[in-house]
Amino acid sequence: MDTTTLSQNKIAPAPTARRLFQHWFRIGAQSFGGGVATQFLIHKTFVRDTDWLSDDEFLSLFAMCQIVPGINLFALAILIGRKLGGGPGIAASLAGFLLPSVSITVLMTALYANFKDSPIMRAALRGMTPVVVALGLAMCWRLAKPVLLALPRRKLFPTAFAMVLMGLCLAVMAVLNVSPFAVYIGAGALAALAAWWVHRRARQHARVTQEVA
Amino acid sequence: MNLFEYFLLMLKSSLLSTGGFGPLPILHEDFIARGWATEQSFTEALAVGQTSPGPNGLWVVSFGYLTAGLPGALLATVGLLLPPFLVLFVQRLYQRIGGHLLTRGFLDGMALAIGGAGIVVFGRLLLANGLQAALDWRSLVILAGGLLLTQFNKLPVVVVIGLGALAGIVLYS
Repeated sequence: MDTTTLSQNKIAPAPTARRLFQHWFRIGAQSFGGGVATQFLIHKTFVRDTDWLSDDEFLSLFAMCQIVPGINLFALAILIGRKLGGGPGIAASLAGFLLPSVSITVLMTALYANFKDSPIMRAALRGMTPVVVALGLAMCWRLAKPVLLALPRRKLFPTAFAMVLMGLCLAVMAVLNVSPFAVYIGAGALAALAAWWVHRRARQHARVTQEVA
Repeated sequence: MNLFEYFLLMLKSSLLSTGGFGPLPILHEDFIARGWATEQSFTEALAVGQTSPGPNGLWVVSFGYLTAGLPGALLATVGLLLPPFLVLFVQRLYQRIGGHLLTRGFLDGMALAIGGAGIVVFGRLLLANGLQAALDWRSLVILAGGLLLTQFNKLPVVVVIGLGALAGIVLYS
């Protein structure tokens, strides 16, 4: 993005790379409680507290991150860093974000690894396992729910199709020894095809009713 | 363990998936097949990684540490860091492909697939977590409690996992 559009879009004067680093460092160090907490802090930092981004800008950057592989919030840090500080902004944002969160994660893992063979830790892990599974299942549900229930904003194909497709993926993963990625691609292609078919039929239907009328 | 192959597997899992736990099914397949990880290390990494700050996906860093020490954590971090850079490329195309019917359909299908694959992998973690007699009435009670707690959106994940640890200490020791 060139500098003229940058100065047109921004609300407050753009921060220096150093301040970007500091803000992301704070986010990376404070965001205990997972992705939603982190996302909340990012919005608060760059939209509400500083006015560096408008709500609309934030939402559009956030939407782009949804179609990128890997951790969406890293992509968001890259986009925000670029918008507010170009190349150095990207480096400062990522470094600030990763340094505390990765170090704390490694430290906590090392700490855990040190005590994992104690009877108490083993008992704790046996209790944490079902909870991790519960959280994981909740994540699966959160991911699939808008599509499964054919929520109005996402309605591309009917719920029945989504349920059959998800059930199929589940069955293939459980029974066959295929790469999960192949399942992802296959399901994506099938769903794209279904969306296109539903759309085409709706258009044909509209044309027919128009002709009848 | 060949560290270069290790890194490639880390990169692959994150490049070919999306979201925090998206890499799980692919990592699970590759690492279990090579004997580089146990079911237990997945559970441990997920528990620690979800408790620590930052995106959920950092559980992969925790997994890296558990399977290959500090070099593992470092390689996992780099593997997680590279794929999101594709967003710079997507940003240019976004106007054209972002709202397109086929793009949205493909992403919806992928969300369903990751959800379905995730259910299978989490089911396996529950059945075989590397500890003796993984599935008994106590773990089912804790699972039910956990599922109930996830309904409260305001409750931080740290608290939910902490309660699980507490329940484990009370019920199993």
